[in-house]
Amino acid sequence: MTANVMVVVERQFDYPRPDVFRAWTAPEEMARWRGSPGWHVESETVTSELRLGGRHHHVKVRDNDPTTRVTTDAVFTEYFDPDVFVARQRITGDPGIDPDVPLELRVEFTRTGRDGTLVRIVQGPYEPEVAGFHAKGWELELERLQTYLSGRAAP
Amino acid sequence: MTTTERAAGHTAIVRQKPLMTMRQILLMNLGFFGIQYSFGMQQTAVNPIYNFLGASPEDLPLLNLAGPVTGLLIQPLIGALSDRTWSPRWGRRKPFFLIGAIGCSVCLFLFPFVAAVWTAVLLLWILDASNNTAMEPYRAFIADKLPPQQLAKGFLAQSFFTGFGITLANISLFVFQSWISGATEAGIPYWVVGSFMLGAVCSIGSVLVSILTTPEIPPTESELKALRAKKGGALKEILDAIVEMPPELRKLAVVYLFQWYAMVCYWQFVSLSIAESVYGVTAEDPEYADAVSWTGLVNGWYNIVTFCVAFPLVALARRHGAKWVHILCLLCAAVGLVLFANLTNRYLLFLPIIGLGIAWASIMGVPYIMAVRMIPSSRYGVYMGIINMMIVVPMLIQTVTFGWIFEHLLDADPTNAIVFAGVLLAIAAATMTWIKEPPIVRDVDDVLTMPAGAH
Repeated sequence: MTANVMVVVERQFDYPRPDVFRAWTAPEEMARWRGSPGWHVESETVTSELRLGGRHHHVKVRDNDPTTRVTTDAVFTEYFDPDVFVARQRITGDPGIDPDVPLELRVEFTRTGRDGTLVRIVQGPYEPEVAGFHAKGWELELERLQTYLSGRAAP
Repeated sequence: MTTTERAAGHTAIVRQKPLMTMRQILLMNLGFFGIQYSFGMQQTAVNPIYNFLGASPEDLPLLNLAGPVTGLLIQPLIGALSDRTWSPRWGRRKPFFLIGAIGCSVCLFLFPFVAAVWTAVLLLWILDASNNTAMEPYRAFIADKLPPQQLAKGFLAQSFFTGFGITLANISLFVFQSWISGATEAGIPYWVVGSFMLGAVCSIGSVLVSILTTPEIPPTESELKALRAKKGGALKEILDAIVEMPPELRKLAVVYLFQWYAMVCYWQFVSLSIAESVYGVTAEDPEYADAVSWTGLVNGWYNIVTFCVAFPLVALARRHGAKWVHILCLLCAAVGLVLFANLTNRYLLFLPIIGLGIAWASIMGVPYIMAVRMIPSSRYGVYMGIINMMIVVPMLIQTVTFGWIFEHLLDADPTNAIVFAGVLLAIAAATMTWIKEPPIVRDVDDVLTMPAGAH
């Protein structure tokens, strides 16, 4: 089966772009919300050189089974704070992703309205039968991002 | 509504977009060819029909008011409506461009049989409304279907079919004139009838091919739920979209002001300019007909350039970004028009007008590559309509203001009007530098061939 499906997920957030961009990129922040429900990011595994050509590494672990681990290694091929970052990823440990086929993750942050941000995630190419699963995963992660941002904004 | 309530109201939009082959992209855009053929007929053949029916030349601007007014009113409304539409059988955008194409075909079929000016005016309004109904959701359809990495190909395929459709409309008029003789009782030549009939077939035929070969991407359950829960009319949706418009898109409105004002100046004055600079005559002289005929060839040529350069522009846009490609193209047209106005040899006119053909390809495609990256996909329809308002408003401003400018600032000299259009295009290029384009999206072909960067 050919990997030929791009997953595009987007959502608006009522927070300024620099805040949302930081939540995505700063290791101490992204570790607090990334991962689908039932998963979390091991904060001690996150390393990120926030620049063009910088390397990124994190490990996601299943909450009820710490032996199930999915590792992401990436290189930033574009990095424009707070507009966009693009990472060339190699993901290992996920049975639906071939670790030998690199993925591209592109996350765009567009100002919308007075102080809102439209986040658009473009990731792929995926094989058609697993694309839906990953799209759903991103949808759930963005819900967690919303919870994280509103918690951070609360006094 | 509080911030928290609004935040909870934002729904994630999820799409799985299969990468499309070039053949699929062309089939998806084929309907744009029929729609643009219809526009070509509207631009080229409707005014002669008014003339055949005995309309006064000074009434022509008023008789042509249908274009900008229907564009202003219909496109945003259709856009907002299509954003809220989903039918498992008919899709989201397809119902609109199918209805529009049917309307275009019926109007094109009936147009040559009109016997009075008022029926021609009525048909033009319906034709223009149908064209707008078909065209607006078509742009949103491209944005819906293609991942960001393929948008440049998608929109420049539309430029390709724009040039191709308009060129074929003009060529059909030229060719049928020498093949078909005779006229209807109302005095409309059969060669005009032939072109309209071909347009009627092309319009519905090409749209049907696109509809039948290209499925729409269905919304997810949560998106559908949000769609159904939407309150407020389409008008409120348009107003909200204007208020919440991304700042960079607002800047595009400034670029469009100069760009479209200039294009209307060109279209209105090119035949008069050629008459003066090449033939040394005015509209009152019988030789003016030669200038009009030569203008048809010049305009046909720049549309040929348009469809020839559309796809090379894709490569440039993905290497240098849509913004700089559009700036370069506008500058080509600016230089071209300044030179064009000063030439006295009619054959040499075909050289500088290449610049306008390049810019026309860019105008019809490149800004959309940027625009769709600035707006949420759930509102592609309404924002495409608003972008069209950015086209139509400068046209209306031109209608109201240019008469005075022409008389008082340009010495009522048509060649000066063309130079003025060139200067405005240069200003449009300068204002374009003000826009901060989202960083370039590499074409998916480049992404797939890149070596792995991470270990």
